[in-house]
Amino acid sequence: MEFFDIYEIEPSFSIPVSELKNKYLVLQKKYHPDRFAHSSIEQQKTALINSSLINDAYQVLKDDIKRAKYLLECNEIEITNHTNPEFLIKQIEYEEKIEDHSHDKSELVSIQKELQEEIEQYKVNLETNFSKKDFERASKQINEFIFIHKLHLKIKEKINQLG
Amino acid sequence: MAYSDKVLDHYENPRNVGSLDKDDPNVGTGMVGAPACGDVMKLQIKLGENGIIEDAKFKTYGCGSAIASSSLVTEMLKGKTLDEAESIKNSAIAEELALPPVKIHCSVLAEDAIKAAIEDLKNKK
Repeated sequence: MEFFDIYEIEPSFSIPVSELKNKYLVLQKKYHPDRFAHSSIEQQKTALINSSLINDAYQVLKDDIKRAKYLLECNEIEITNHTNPEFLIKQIEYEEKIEDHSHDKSELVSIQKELQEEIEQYKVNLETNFSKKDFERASKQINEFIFIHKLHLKIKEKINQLG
Repeated sequence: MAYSDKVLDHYENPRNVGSLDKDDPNVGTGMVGAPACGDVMKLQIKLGENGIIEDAKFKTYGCGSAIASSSLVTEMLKGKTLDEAESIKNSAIAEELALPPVKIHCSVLAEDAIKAAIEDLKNKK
């Protein structure tokens, strides 16, 4: 749980995002290699290692999917490769709906809302399962979450293109 | 990353895009997904009276290599028995399409889709 330790944040799926960001800015400033330009080679090296660790940890912790994967990894669980076929059928139905309404902005916006609601639900469920340490369930949910998340980005892009 | 000519050909002119009736007892549907990239693949096969696959359709939402892999697979499947279909390996797909190493998982997904479609068909019998 090294990444959580760096930011002194309790390891869990739901984290205080604004606190993370503030701490990141503080730490990044404190360990920025530029501040060690006149220090010994040894100190410069340490600063560089610290600063890249701070960055790596931030990139993982601020991202829902990466943070969830990291929590699984720390518990030596791999994200499952098997996706529920029923779930995949629903994904295809979403894709078809998006295709059929590719120029209908209001319809796309309403699909986006549906997806956004699903995303929120997945987040709630992930938090529940991680706090219960039900990693098997969490692994299945992240698997599905990745698909929904990608679809959500895709539809957002389409809506933006329509202007 | 540059796609091979064969991938581009299948990507621009995908063969056998569409759906078969999933409730038909002679149709097997394989649904697979790759969580690493969020690609979704649906592959359907229809078995004729003589035990030969007479039709195959696919719908893939993903990258060019995933679309090309599933398009190629529908061509390979037609005219084969289920045993022959089951023995199609991802390496054959990857080789035919000249997929680069980072896209090998697309051919694996296509192989998984064949297996899932066959399993679905067998479960109906």
